[in-house]
Amino acid sequence: MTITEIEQFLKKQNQIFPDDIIREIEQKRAEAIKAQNEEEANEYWRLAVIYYVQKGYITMYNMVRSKNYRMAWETLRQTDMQLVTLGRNFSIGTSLDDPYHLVYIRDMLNKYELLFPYEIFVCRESLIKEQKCSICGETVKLRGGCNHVPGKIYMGELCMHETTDFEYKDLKAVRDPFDKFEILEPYEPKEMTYSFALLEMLMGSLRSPYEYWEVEIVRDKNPEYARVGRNDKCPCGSGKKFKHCCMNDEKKMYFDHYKIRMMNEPGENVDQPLRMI
Amino acid sequence: MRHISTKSNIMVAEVPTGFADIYEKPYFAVEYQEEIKKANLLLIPSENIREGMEPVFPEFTSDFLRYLRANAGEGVVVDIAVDDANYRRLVLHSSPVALATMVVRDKILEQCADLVVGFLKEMADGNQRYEDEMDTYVNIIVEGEDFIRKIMFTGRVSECREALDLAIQEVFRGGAR
Repeated sequence: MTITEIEQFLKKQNQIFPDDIIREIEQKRAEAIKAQNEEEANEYWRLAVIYYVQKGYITMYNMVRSKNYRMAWETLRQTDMQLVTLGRNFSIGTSLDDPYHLVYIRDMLNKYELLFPYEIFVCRESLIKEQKCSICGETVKLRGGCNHVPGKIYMGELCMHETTDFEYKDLKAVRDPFDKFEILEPYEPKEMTYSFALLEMLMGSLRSPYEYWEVEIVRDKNPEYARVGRNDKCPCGSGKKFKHCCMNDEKKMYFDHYKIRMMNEPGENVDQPLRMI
Repeated sequence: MRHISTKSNIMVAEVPTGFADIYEKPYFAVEYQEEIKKANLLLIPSENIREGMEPVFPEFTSDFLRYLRANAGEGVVVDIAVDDANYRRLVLHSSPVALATMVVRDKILEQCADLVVGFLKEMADGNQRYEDEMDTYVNIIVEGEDFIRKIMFTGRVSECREALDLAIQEVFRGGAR
């Protein structure tokens, strides 16, 4: 396969990713590295990442469809990180010029993420003492070290700083970390579990992973509190007046209402949805 | 303390620690002192984060230092106060981008603010995040001829520019520049 043929494959809205395509890309990348042709090696790295991003997106979609949510979440995070790395080295396109569907996939990953119920994550706190550059193997130094920049591509290889000495300090439960891989799972009580109702509803309406849909989150008043006067008894059952109880409690008074709209094309007038969940 | 919005706060306060005090700190890299003392934008570690913990830098300090060195304009000399043996980064993987505390000479404060905002914008772009969804902690100790003041910003990256501009006015209130 030539670069052009691989590009033609990746420009389609693929749902099946034969292994021989990625084997071919990786083999060509290895040949370019051996020939010390940096431009070509980097180009094959780009094509490989596009392949993995597209495949990751379809895998995530299929996992959501088969209700394997934990694995779907991990695949989503991994695919998102691959896209970020790609974007640091090459243009991923624009919504008007998106030959490899990468802008579409990025937007969709963000929307899927909103529908997952995970809010709190576990992050490791550690003290980094020494790192090595994955490109040249040199110890990373503050002064006079190598000039390789982590996250950048050199001769078809991604530069990373590999931690060779660190001290584990603590585990923290955090909201919205950079690294959202480790989900905080409820252990007790057993009946306490995450709800994936939004994803289930979405999957009931989607016919293809490449369909367009929008999600809008609006704050709605909890119906229980809708017609309560200031001096009425609080509906929560505390026995106090509403104004002295839940009236100023945002969490009790309001809830997030998710509106998912199905569309034919991106940017289609969302006020007139074709189908609305 | 001044509220920029419900999401951001900026504060300017008098502090006792300036360049001369940093040069006396146990973590100060004496073998590089000649070089470090030329710096008018110096990154320093946070001390006493937790009992018994050595002075540490935040997670993205290596990226920040690289950005500062690559983008510092004329008259801005960047360095870090420690050597490799004392360079410890506390990695939390948390969402807010905490920058290493900077100690700067008053004459380059505006350039320093430009560099901070530029780096945060690059961080947001590089991680495909919107600046109004990303939080940051910025601490700048400014040393003039007759004052040492500290700017402390916590809040949205998108509001950092406006906040730092307000803080710069506050630092130089009374014409001390």
